[in-house]
Amino acid sequence: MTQVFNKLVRCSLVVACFLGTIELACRIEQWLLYDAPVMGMYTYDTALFTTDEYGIAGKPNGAYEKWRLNSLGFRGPEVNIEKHNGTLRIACIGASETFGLYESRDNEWPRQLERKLKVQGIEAEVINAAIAGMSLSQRTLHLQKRLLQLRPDVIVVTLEYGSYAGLTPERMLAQQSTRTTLPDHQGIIERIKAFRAPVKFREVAIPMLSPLVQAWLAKWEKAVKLEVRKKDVGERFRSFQHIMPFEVEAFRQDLHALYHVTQSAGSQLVLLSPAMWMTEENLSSMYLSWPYIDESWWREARVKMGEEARAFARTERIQYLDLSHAINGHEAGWMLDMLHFSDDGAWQVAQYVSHAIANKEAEDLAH
Amino acid sequence: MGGGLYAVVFNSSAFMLFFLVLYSAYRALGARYVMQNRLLLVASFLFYGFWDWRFPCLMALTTVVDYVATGRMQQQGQRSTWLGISLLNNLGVLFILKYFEFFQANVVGTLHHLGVEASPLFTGVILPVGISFYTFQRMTFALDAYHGKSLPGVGFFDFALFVSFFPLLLSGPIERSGNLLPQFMRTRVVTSLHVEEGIWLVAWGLFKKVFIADNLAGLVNPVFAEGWNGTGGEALIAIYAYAFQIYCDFSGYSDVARGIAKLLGFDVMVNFNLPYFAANPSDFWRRWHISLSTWLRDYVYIPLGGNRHGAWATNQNLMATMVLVGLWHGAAWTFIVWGLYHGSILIAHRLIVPPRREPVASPWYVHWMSVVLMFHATCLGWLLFRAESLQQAGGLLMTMLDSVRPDALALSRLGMLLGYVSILLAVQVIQAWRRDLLVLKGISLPLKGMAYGLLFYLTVLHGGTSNSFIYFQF
Repeated sequence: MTQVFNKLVRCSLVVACFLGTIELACRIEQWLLYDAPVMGMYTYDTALFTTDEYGIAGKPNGAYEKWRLNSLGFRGPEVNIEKHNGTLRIACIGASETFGLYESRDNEWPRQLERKLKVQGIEAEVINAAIAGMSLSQRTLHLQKRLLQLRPDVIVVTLEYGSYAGLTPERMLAQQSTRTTLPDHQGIIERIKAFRAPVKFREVAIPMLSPLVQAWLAKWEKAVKLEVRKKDVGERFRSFQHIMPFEVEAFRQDLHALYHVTQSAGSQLVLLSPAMWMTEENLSSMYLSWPYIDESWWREARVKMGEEARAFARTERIQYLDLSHAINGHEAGWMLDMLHFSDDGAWQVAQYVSHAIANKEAEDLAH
Repeated sequence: MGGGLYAVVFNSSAFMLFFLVLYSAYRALGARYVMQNRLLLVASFLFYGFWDWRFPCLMALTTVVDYVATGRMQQQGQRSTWLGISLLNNLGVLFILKYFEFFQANVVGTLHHLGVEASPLFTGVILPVGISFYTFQRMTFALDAYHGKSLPGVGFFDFALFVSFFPLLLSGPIERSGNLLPQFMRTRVVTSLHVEEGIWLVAWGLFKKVFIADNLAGLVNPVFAEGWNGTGGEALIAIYAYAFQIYCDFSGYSDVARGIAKLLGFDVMVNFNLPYFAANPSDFWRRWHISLSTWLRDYVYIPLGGNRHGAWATNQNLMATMVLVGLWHGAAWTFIVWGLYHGSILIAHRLIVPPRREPVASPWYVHWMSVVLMFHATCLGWLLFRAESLQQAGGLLMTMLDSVRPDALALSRLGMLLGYVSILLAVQVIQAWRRDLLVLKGISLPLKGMAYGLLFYLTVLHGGTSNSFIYFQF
């Protein structure tokens, strides 16, 4: 018995030292490469975001791997509060598709938009003020409280639909009274995220496996996560199947609120409807983030809310661009999931938006 | 080389799966060594067949011929005939598959210069991976039998397993029948020491291959690519990098092979013994690819007369053996010139420092200066070995002589090179100091855990990507 116990202790010691060395090596590597803290949490959420009285905000000078925020908490280079004469200042607001999730550094579409406009002869300064996971009403608040001090000439807002699913007057009231918070890192999954080696291992080792094994692992992981999600949500899983009139009404109200804020600041508003690559695979992945929303809801939202936004833009004479058109027919190469772009996809979006802005500029000059 | 699409190599996830399944079944068979041998034989042919189904067929055919020929050697008066058949079976197949096209191209080229137009008989021969290794290994059985050192009671399946034993099949070490065959013919005991040493050898070998060799390929390949137009400093660093790349690639394979054999309960010969710590050419060949150099010593150099017939004959024998070493590596003039070069420095060393019966100890600084000098002489040889042609080797040598300057690019590449090899050098200094290749012996458990952790981190998370080993082409 004692022998077995001793053997167990010896094995545990070797395993602990083995795993501890890998974890320490990963931390030292991140410290060398990204100036990440050797001790403590270092995740996408904790390194890049914070909260203030208006909800989630970018952390000033926050940095996580390829993502770098400036002193105002926006992705990209430093911005002077005072803008240069003759420079068109454009603020882009949206969620992860605008912030840039999969694109390599400086290739998210707002950064590429700035380069594209310069090529077209327009001296522009593009501020990527997007923050992952923000609803449209939060984006309006974010604009009003944090961005208008920069006096942007153009405000490009990427719309979102998911936060309206299942919205009722009661839920809306409850949401308004609840302060948005970041993940508290107390749950088991959040605590596991504190270890850096598993994340690194996943990033590096899995692509080394054969494509067949990778596909099998991805499928298995998705199935497990989905099961966990189903258990969490219970009967409410995929319970929102059709767009309700109140959801559209709430969306319309938020558009009005956004429009009024931009009008009061004297900025030009450009609305972008999200590019949505709705394959069976992509739609099933959406249940991981939005477990209540059935794929039929997404399909209806794309049509109904898109029409609503288009009608609103026509009435208020503001520019409306449907990003689905920018990537139409090339989704497999330009998108990496239902909402997010590859470098090439981001370049296409930048090109699409830059043409619209350049045309508007030319129109304004002609007038 | 054929195949490749489904190639199962040591650094692939497919191999890990293959080995896990095999090892579980192997250990489950306990002490039933005959069953274990059959399992290993099937697994070895399967392993080889993943490359190309024709490879195991050829190996099976030539193995049958060799076994029959060796068996008939026992009959009086026909020993030479059957040895001839065995050699023809081994060297004939090797010549046709590996050397014929080279020989044919040179004959056609020479005839063309003489004004005679001739067309090649055939081209596009697929060279089975590992053929030089298993052919030489198989030949030891027939040659030993011819010299009256045959092993009694070797069955056909034992012999077939000796030829096809999968850890050694693709890149050696080239084992001797006298060492490996008896191990197949008895119950093997896999102790915890076997397992510990085996795991260490596999981990260390994969680290050398995946972290060092595959990453150094990034410093080497661009310099040897067509149209390269860099500086002498860059070329010099590429040669140094190649010295470590080829060493880590090949010795890494050997370590993994030995480790896997150890896990299965077999002791396989050491193939590399700190070769860059060699102080002279003879010392280098006692440390580099030991299984090939001792094979050629025992079956070529000594039968040719060795050093028994005076200095001139010794030098001739040395040169002939080294040209064979070059030719064994491949059918190209660069390999022949590489062999000639090593033959020349071996002879030069014998002329400058005649061999003595009693070794004379040099002062430590003279010894280390000799080590550095020998390393550079080896690097010059690697330039010939790695170059696509003699013209390219000459061009790179001229570039280095013309413009070796510590420019920024060369310095940054030197930094990368030192970064990749620093752990190797540190471990090898300890190995040389302790005169023991098993560095983990005697160190505490936490340190062992940390060492494996560091190797895992570097190999898996920072390893290069390659699904081949340099020596597969030989």
